Amino acid sequence: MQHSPNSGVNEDMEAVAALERDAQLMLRVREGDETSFALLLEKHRAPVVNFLHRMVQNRAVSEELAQEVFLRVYRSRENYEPTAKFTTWLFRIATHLALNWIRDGKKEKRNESLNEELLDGVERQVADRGPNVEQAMIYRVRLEEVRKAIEALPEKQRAAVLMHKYQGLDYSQISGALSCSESAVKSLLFRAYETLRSRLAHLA
Amino acid sequence: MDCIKKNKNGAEIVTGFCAGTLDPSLAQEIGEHIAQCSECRGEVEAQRGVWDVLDAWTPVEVSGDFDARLYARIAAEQSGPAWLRWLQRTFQPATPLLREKMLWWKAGVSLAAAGAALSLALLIGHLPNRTEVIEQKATVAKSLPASEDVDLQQVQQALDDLDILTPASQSPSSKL
Repeated sequence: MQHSPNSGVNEDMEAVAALERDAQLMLRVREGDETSFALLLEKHRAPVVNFLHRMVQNRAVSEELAQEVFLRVYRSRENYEPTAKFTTWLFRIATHLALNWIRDGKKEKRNESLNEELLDGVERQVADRGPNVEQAMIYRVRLEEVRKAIEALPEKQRAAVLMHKYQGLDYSQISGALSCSESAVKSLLFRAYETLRSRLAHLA
Repeated sequence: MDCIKKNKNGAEIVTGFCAGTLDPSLAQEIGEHIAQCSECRGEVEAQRGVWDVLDAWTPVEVSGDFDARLYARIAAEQSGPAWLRWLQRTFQPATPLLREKMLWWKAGVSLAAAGAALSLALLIGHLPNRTEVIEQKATVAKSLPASEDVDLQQVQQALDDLDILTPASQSPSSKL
């Protein structure tokens, strides 16, 4: 069967059409469309900051790292190829930066402000919900225990649980972000949830 | 349906059921099963309990100036020299595929740097350093008689011998 000269172009167009929306936006960023970058930033800013916040447990650092994530996305726009889902790629960069930050031992240096920051957050959340003092105390204790339980998990288990529970990423996306197999992700999640179940059973 | 605990993918099914990510027909099967099986119900309730407890950690708000700070950094980079932008792209590639492609030459550079450092260390190791020179000098000095231990009698004897051997007009003692 002979292909028409346009068949290759059509196949490319179909491939592009089949791409997820984020990848399409990123391809437009590659072509110099700044608005597409703004759209991507608008969509992923909060999820990336929150993922990093739960990873490093420091608000200022999480924003600093999130800035670095988007800066790297922008820098690499010319080389971007939609080989994986955009979210996978984004969280791979975020995970990489967070794990490097934790491994560099920078965590200890900034930990002093953690409790204060956490309590500030709790006060704000409590104020939003308007419970009484007793409920506020219970909520504070609950949040602190959750935070400590997640912090105590090994780095990769922590990253896997955060991406699965709070970001809603599936196994294949998490495996792409952590550079491991899907079965390894399932094992990481199974162990992490087992640990969390035993540590947080009294709160359930 | 068999018990979830007996299924080799039991943990995955329970996690998916609580996360609401299971196929609707499978989720319905699980729902019907746990209504009758207390063991599986306990397993699902334990996972759901953790799932709900984790909801306590609500998201934080992103700073209002986040975008402005990011765009300022991007603008600063764009105004920088081309070679700097090239360096940033080369040494901080965000594309996973590109990073993997770069691994071979990154490993090569690391190896070359390690080799150079080792060669330098060996070269420096063969040159006597300042401490070694001082130690060697101290050893030589110890092997020689100390200058303070000059025997005065021996000196006097030498002068006398010289006096005897030289004519009276040129003798050192005649000049004293």
